[in-house]
Amino acid sequence: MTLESTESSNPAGPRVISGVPPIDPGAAARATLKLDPDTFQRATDCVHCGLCLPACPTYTQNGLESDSPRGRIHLMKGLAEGRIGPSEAVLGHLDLCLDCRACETACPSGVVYHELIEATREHFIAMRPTTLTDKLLRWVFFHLFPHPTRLKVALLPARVLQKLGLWGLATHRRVLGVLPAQFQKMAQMLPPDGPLWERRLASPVKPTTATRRVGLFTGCIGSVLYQEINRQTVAILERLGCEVVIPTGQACCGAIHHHGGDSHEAKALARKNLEAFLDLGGEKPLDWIVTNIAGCGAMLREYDDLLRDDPALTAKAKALSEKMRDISEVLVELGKPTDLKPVPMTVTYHDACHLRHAQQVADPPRQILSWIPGMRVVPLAESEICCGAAGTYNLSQPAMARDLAERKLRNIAATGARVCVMGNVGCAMQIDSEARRMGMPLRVVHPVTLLHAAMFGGED
Amino acid sequence: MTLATRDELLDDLRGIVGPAGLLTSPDELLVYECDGFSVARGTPRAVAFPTTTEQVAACVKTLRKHGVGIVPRGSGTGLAGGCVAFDGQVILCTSRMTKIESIDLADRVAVAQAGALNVTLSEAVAAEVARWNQNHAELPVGPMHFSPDPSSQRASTVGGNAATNAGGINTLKHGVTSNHVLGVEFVLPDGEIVRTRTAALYESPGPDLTGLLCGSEGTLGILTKVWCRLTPKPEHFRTVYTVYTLTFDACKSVSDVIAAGILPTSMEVMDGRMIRVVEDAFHYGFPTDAAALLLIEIDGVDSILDEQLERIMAICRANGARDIKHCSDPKRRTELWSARKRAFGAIGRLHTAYFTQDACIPRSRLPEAVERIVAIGAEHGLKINNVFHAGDGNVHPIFFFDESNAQEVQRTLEAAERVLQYCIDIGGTITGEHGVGVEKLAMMPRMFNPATIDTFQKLKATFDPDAVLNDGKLIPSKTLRIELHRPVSPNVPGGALCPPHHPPTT
Repeated sequence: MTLESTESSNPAGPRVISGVPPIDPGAAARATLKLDPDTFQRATDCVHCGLCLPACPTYTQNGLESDSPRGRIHLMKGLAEGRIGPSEAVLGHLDLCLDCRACETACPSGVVYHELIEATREHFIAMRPTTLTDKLLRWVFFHLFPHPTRLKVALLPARVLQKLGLWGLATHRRVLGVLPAQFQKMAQMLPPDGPLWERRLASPVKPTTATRRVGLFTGCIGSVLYQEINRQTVAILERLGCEVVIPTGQACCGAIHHHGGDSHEAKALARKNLEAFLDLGGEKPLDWIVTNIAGCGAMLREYDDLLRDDPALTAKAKALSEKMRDISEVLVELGKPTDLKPVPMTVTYHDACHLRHAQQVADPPRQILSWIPGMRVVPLAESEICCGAAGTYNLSQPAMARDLAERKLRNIAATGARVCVMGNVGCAMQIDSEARRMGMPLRVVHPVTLLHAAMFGGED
Repeated sequence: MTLATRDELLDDLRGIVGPAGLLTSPDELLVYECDGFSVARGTPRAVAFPTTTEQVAACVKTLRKHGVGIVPRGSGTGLAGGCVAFDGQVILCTSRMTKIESIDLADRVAVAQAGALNVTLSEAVAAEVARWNQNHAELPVGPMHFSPDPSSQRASTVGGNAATNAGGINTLKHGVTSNHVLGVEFVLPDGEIVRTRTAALYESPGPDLTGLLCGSEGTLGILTKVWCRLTPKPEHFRTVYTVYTLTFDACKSVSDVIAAGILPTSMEVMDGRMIRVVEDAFHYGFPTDAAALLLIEIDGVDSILDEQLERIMAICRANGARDIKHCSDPKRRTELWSARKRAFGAIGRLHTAYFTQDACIPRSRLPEAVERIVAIGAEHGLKINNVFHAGDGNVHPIFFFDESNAQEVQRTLEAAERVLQYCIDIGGTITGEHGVGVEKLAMMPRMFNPATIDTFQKLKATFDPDAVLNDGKLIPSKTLRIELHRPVSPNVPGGALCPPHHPPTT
């Protein structure tokens, strides 16, 4: 019986429906999301193959296509075409994106996903109601974190309590419980000890035999909470024959603003940094600009994209992007240092998203670890899945951030290593604080610190 | 149907999978409107996310009680619209059924829930092998894996692989998914749970239910669990890549290698334009001026591979290969295959809309067939490019079109249909590995004679008498026909992907 004869024996026949929805010519007029054509093109570059699904932390966590890169692109496309509206549910799925960019590494079509989600977020952020906590948080993100001195003042009471041994009491759930959850989380993330007042790093004395001039970007939170890593970076680079320059005019990289929907301020900060690192008066230009913080490095590398509407600065931004390196890349280029002392230790390596996905740096940090005698590196399952830090995500989406941190810690525990190496401040604070919360003995360390120990001693 | 019954259905489903396990808001359902074949679109009434077989069974019972059709979905990486819901059907999605229940290295079988990812399973097996070898240093086992390797394997599920009988690059030597599925658990439309696996090591007696479910595309039962065969993972390879000035010569080489009695793991051809697309995307170092690239891989006992390699290279040379390179470096080999597996996705860098046809032809007809397919494209004013599993005679002509140009869409669909017809005419089939779904449904009566179609329909009715499971897919249905029309203008329907009525060809 053929299809036709089936029908003739059954006069009613099968119900016939169209598998291709008609194009609604009026939809575009109802679109709530206006994207510039370049950015919209990002959405149409997606061929819906689905290879991004297993790379996405949120999809692999909850199995919802609407919380996958392909699904979010579909939602943003739907908003831009007027097929759907910005309902709470839709915006919720877009908010839950970490912007970790693991999907960009996985995507065979080269979809530049982050531009699409960042433009969409910036568009909707203005029209959404904000609570007092939101406003406070935004003030902290935009006016406290990016300013090292203000941050040091703000941290002073906490540091005093830590010195007095009272920090544990102060951060007890019943004391902290009066604060909004996001502020509790911030208090938990503070590393348990550090100097009362971190000193600013000055450019070291110019060595006479330097072969390379390297600019160091110290970061804002990095220079307050992890200045030691900057000091170690300077020591290593000097030992390897570099002249290290730390321009005093450098500012926050602007990532917090850019990802928080304030690209205006991000651009202003970018201009400051272009000036600080490129306008060196009569001095010889820098060969490289390095940072040991993946989040900042990713932002600095993308200044040319950020400033693409400002033709006067595009060339300059491109110049900076081209000089920008993660510290691990520079160290690999400079070659393995001689006379490394053994650092007998079992470690595992976590890929910071802004290093692995945003900067596509995967091998150099691992290579550095492989140089160190006596070090055993155990591969980490799902090393490329976000730990939940994602800039300020762990403050704005605490539940998903915590689930991802726990997943990361389970994978770390399975390696048997008690030391986890990573090249980003945000991940370090997240993984360190979550390990403490769960009572898991774990040391979080930057590859620079381990290489420093192998070169100069101090890890016995 | 009244609003009240609608709510009752959703409430019932919510009672089974919990409020977080059911999506019903139309905005959120938008993302479930299509799979990797984005031409066919339909919005489900809801999507449920069961976590256990029992929940699947309970959902099925409820949906049947309410007379609502059911569409199973895994990761939605299919290329034939097989997991798209039409006509108010509800999707049961296995994305939360990802548990790997057991891995038995001694008996070489792993049991996974249907939603476990193909690569995740192989990674878990590798971890288990490592653990075993740490504890049994005196009796170590070699590496093992789940062999089926569709290009989507990082994202696709074992349930989806089994339901579509997925192929891949290694199928030439190592077989398709059904060769690696030892048993399945599935839910029937009345909510009963069937398990075809009864003993640890042996095939079950009776008719081959496992084989029947493999490739049934969710029309006979909903797969919830798969017993996966674990096989030794080849450890020694030689990979040859050869460059040709004529696609014809590349295809001839493929045919000659098989004729010489050699069974490579895979033989893949990419035509010139595809080489350039892949090269632009991944910078592997392929020659961008070549007309065709042939990748051949052999695996097996290390000591005999070099001799085989020499014979293969001699055949390629005799067929006019311009450049022959081989590598045994594992890293370079991984890069090479990764470039090949991401070839389809890389097309997105060039075109916003394309669709990949999938057909099989006798290997010996490859040289002429590839030329004919390109000619059909030219007759319709279209460029067709080819990247295909040449060893299996499995061609994947890729059609590029502009989605907003209705005439071009129409021409594309006509050309695609002619290509399939041509493949049937020279003794081929309408699908090699992507399945039928809705995309090729209308070609089924051209492929099979009426008695065969009738038998398919009877088989379907035995499992699913009320046609509630993935109705309108794979087997021509008596109750639902989904037409892939694309309106040329708002009032004139046209541009069917496969015209709904074809007189059976003789």
